[in-house]
Amino acid sequence: MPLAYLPIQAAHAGPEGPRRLVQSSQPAWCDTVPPLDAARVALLSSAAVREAAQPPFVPPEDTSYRAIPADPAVTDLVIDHRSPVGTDARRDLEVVLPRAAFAALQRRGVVGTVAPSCFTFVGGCRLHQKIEGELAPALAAELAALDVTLAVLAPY
Amino acid sequence: MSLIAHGIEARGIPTLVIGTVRDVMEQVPAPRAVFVDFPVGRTFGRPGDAAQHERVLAAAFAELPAFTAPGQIRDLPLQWAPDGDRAWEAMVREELLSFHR
Repeated sequence: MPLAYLPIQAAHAGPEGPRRLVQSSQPAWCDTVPPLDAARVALLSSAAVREAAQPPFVPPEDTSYRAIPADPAVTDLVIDHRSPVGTDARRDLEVVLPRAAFAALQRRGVVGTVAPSCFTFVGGCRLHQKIEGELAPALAAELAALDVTLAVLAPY
Repeated sequence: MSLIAHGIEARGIPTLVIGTVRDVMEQVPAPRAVFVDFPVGRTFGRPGDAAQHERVLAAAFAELPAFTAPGQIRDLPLQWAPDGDRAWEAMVREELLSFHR
């Protein structure tokens, strides 16, 4: 039985109240997924990870995003998300942003290619209309510009 | 994350969400999602265990052909502790509680 997180969050909600979950107003579905070994994949994370030189995220109500290198050799990265569950991610970012695993699967031929950028933003933001109307289309445009054919999203 | 996944699919790019919080994933279905029964904040495994991170990602990718309709969540056959012990749940509760003290 999976751990039920919503009751825990509800019991300890701050003054802003329990988290409100909002479904997409325009559900979408691509019925064809490319063969993985021919796919161009990109990784997105809601951990609000950025390069140290990039402007910081300002959680929780920040709907901006950052493009960061998918190359795992670039390690000068910062997690701006204020989640209390980030202890291990701050020791090893791969537990939430597995850039090395993506690179390894590309080397093994499991995935076709890995796009040169990952995209990150602030999870748990309550500005749902801006997320749906601005952030999501902007990220989709970035992925399209990189010819991505499969996007992998890892919630924080 | 569901809102963003739907927005990306609307552009014609398929998505795969890899998550650890199943009750949220059920309430706001993404187009295509796999559930990893690991502690939140450790979706791909333990720090320093690159082989495990790769196994989790590969297991998620292996589910792609199995999706037949939007909103499905597929459970990965993985567990945090080799013996199935769920003591990690207490750790997660404590972490979440500490955030609100």
